[in-house]
Amino acid sequence: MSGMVENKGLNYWLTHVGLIFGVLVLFFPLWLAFVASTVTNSEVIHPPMPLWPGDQFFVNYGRALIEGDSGQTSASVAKMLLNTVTVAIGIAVGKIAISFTSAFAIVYFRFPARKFFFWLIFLTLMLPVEVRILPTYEVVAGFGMLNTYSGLIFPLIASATATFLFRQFFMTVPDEIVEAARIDGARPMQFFIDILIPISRTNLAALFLIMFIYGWNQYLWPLLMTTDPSMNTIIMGVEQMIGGQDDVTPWPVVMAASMMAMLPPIIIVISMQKLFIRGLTDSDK
Amino acid sequence: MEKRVYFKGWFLPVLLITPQLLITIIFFFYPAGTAIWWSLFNPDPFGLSTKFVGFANFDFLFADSYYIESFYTTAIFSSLVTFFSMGIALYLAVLADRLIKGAGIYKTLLIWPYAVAPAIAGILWMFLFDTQTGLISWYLGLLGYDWNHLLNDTEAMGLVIVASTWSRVSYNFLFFLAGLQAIPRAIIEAAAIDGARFWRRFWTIIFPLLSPITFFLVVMNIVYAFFDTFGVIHTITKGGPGQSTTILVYKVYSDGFVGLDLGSSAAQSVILLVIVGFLTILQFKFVEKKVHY
Amino acid sequence: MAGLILKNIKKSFGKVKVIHGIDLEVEDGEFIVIVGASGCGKSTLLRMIAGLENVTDGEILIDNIKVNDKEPMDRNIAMVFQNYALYPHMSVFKNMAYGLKIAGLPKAEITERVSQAATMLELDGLLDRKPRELSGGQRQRVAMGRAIVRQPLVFLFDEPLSNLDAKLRIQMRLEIKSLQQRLGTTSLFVTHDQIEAMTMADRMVVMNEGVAEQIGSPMDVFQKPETVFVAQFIGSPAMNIIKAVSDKLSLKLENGSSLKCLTQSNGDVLVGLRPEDLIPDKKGEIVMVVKLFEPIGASTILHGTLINSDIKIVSVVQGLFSPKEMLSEMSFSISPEAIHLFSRDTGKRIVN
Repeated sequence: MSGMVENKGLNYWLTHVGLIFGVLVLFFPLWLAFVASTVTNSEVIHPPMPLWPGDQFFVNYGRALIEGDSGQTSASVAKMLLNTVTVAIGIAVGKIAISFTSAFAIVYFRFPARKFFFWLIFLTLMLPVEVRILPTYEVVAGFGMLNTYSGLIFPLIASATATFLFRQFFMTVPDEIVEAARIDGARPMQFFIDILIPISRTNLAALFLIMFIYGWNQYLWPLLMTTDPSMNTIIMGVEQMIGGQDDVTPWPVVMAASMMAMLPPIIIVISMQKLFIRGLTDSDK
Repeated sequence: MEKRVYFKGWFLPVLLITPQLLITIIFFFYPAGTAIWWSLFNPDPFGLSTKFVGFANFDFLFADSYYIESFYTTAIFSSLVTFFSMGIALYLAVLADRLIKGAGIYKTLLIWPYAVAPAIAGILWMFLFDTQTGLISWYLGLLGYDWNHLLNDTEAMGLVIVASTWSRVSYNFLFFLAGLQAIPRAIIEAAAIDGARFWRRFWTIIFPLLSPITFFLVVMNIVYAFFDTFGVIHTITKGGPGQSTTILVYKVYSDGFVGLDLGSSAAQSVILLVIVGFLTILQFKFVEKKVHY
Repeated sequence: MAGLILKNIKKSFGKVKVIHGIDLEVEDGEFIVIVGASGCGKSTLLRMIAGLENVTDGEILIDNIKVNDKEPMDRNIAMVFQNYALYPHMSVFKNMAYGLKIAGLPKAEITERVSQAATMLELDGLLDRKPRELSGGQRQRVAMGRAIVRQPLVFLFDEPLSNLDAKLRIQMRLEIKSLQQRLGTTSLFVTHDQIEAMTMADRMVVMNEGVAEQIGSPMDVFQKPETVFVAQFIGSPAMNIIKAVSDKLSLKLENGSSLKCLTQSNGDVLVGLRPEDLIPDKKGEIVMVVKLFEPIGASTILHGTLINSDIKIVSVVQGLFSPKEMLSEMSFSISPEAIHLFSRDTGKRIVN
């Protein structure tokens, strides 16, 4: 703790003031969005908007959930949430499944071209999907996977960031445990299931959370490849609810949808805070 | 790379690595390769004809004033977002680190924005500054200032920067806090005994010890500003007004998907690929010291 | 019937030769200690027997069956690791049962074997605990339990006591030895601690840089070391080795002193004198200029140099001396039978 030596008095209060100010700045847009989601359209259209929640909570959220924006360019929020949950889980599970197994193969075996494959995978690090959107679109279209869950999921699990992370983790598992397992008679897959997976529990959980949120918050890719509104995910779907300059945007309903779009990841981050933070700081370095 | 212990046999590992390999090849390398191909071949979007144009697409890009402008826009945008989001985060992290108790509560209160998608962040801030109904723009109007980010370049840029920064502060905060808490207390106490007051301690000891994290975050924030902010820009300004907020990745999208110029868009993708590749190498050379091959 | 046979075992890592040809015949039920300094190859040797390293040349036979190409699990061996290597997520019971579970033993038998081993090792109340809840000594016993339940033909111990504190180490030494005697299983025990080797071994293999310099009982190794290395490695404080010239009737030490000793050799030799064999004698030939002394309770270790020279010499004398009582020079004599002779060229023992 850097300031441990000087703790009471003016410094102490200034510290809290500074932090509280930061907290307020971060909360401000969220709060206003929430307020907007509980008031009527006219209250929003005629500024200034009230700063305290109104009474339209159930009206707005209900409308968002069931109608979306009355079927203009988006589906109901309920459907979009379903899509998003499916895609997010698909991405998290998919990515972890293929990465964990390939990291296992790379670390615990020797096979021809092993180093080559390692470098191949390494090449995909940090090259986000945005760099290859158009050709990926062609590929997905070619497979007939536009407007499908698979089309939404596969391109987003193709980079090998998780493989790399698991590899780094496996390197920290003591050799002797593997040797003891070999002496005990464990075949590779027995070692994998009986020992490696349980030992990796925390990493798996943390990475699942991070990937779930990553998948949930995807914007560009779903935007491109879902032309059918019923396949929209919620993040891009909310944007579609906002009309152009000529249309009147139904802000309360849009804000209700935004709140519902934000809430699940926020709840995850806060309730699994420790695990989540560990996953971020351990894995990104 | 060399771990002492391994299992014998090659069939099983090849089997295990195949799913990853297949998906990575089909959905990563093949599209990336296609992007390079298109950049050299300038196909028309309907797949009717292609012709080899060599580096013509690239030449054209670098002669295109819009593209050069996009470079500048991206440079300004990413440096400002990086600077502000890291600066604010560092400030908050230093404050939080000074607390003996209560740091945990602030942590919880400050990390949740990480969960908010940049696109949603864009919508939230756009709502605040909406030309007709935005609360802040209305108050600015009362003060005599007519806010309209749909017409004013600088305001548009300012708004996307604010939204992007807001979105990123918590990520940086987490890392800075972790870095600060990892500094051995003994070093700080020794400095305090040596008579160094807080700011001196900060600049001569703490900040240098944070430099690996700082470097790491700079790279990660630049990548974030290059790519993840697509959502912010698309929701607030759609690259406008004019092309004043069209960062490079946005241009790839608008030229390719909206303008249907596949060759140019592909060339732009390739250029971005090179930039990110360079950043990745930088990252690994200087940060990932514990990686052995 | 021999339990374990090593025939001319050689090992290279790439071009680097680490083991240069080791032969060993272990009787069924024998406790063999492989002892040597770090890097001498003892762990590598053990791991080759376990099947964790490939044998570059030579044969390993367990129960008269060649096992070079067999996987560890097919060799009927069990190993206790220096760092215990317990599965961190499994309870003590599950740790011990794992190998049996894989072998497909029926649940009842697994439970029986594990309970027996637990009782033998005093782990009864701990069967549900996880390794992180155990002390170092307890973990070590679980590791041994894991080995015992498999009822192998050979136990392999890879420096299992190195991570324990001194007092625990001594206690575990006795426990391991008595356990092994009870079970009667052939055992190979690797350590760098020569005292451990001396107290536990039926026979010892003293290794140095990939070569087995001597194989024999602790008594043999101590009383008749075959090489200078063995002479200095075994016994504490280490044997004094002094250059000398022999003329069959006496030995002229490098500092000029002369010892009466009938030998068959002529010329340059190395003389070995154990510190505890030096007897204080006012008329003794060996005169030490005392530089430092260490009182260790019932005796005192003296460090100094031979008179008229810089040659270091160490002796052990009975009794406690205070600084005032300490003389600056002490004379010693030694019985001719206690003098060890080694060839200056080869370092090998010369028989008196």
